[in-house]
Amino acid sequence: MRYFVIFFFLTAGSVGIGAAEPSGTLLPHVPTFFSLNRGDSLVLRLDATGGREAEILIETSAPGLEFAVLSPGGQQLSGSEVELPQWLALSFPCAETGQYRWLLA
Amino acid sequence: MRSAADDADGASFRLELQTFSAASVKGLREAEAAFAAARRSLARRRKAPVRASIARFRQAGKAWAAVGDRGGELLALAGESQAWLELSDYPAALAALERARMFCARRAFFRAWVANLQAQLYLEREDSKSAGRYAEEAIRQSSALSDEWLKADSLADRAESEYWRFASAENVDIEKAVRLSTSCSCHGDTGAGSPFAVPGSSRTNVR
Repeated sequence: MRYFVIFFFLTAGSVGIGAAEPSGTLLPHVPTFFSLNRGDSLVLRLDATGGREAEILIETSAPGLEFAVLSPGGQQLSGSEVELPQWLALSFPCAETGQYRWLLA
Repeated sequence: MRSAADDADGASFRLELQTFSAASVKGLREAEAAFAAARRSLARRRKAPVRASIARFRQAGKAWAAVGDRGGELLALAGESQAWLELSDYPAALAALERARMFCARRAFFRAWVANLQAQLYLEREDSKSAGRYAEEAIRQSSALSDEWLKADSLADRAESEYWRFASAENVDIEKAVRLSTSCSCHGDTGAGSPFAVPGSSRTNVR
């Protein structure tokens, strides 16, 4: 069984979030804590207004997880596998208007 | 995709988003690559790679500083502190954390997080009084933030400091820490959220 955490990044002027319902908002400069049970999924919104490049500082409690950041058009912008259960940084361009997704499995 | 979490009951995540101008791309990429390399070197836990990780953490910190990424700088300093700790250079480890605190002025979470690291460092130095003081600070701040993961870590640190001082509250704190770490899927490892918690290791002090 996998975790699926989907972070939808809404830049200025973006439209609805799609089929999945959001369950939270990730704000710039506000460290946010999540705890997931096996099989849980989560959808977060982010308003990345004003940025051309975004960076997420991520701390995880478990290794072996994989991230992928997808553009509004579905293109993979960035990805990483968590080798160690600690901090990592992941940046990606966010100049395009629309819905960005971050998949964690 | 294979997930190590397949073997676990759950997982915890902490995220902070930052946005930058297009001119920051090169610096961010350099910092992230150096930071990842530093973490890998540090995880090898042998003297030469741990020493090499310090230069990498500093490279990451410098690149993050150049683009105004204070959160990144803070993480690089915390990593450097961990490397010094691995080398048993406590003054250098403490100095790095003191510098990290300078970046916490308007960052409530990181202020609590660094206080927790300071508590852990003092525990390693067997200075339970100072450890208890920083653990108190981390507990107070993490409670205000409703960050159960950090609070569980901090409670475990305070419990350990109480253990060394023969304080009666030790068991209560341990029970709270275990309860919190279970509820927030920290795998019951109250040190898992800390950069001072090296995979495969744990503090096993003998009084």
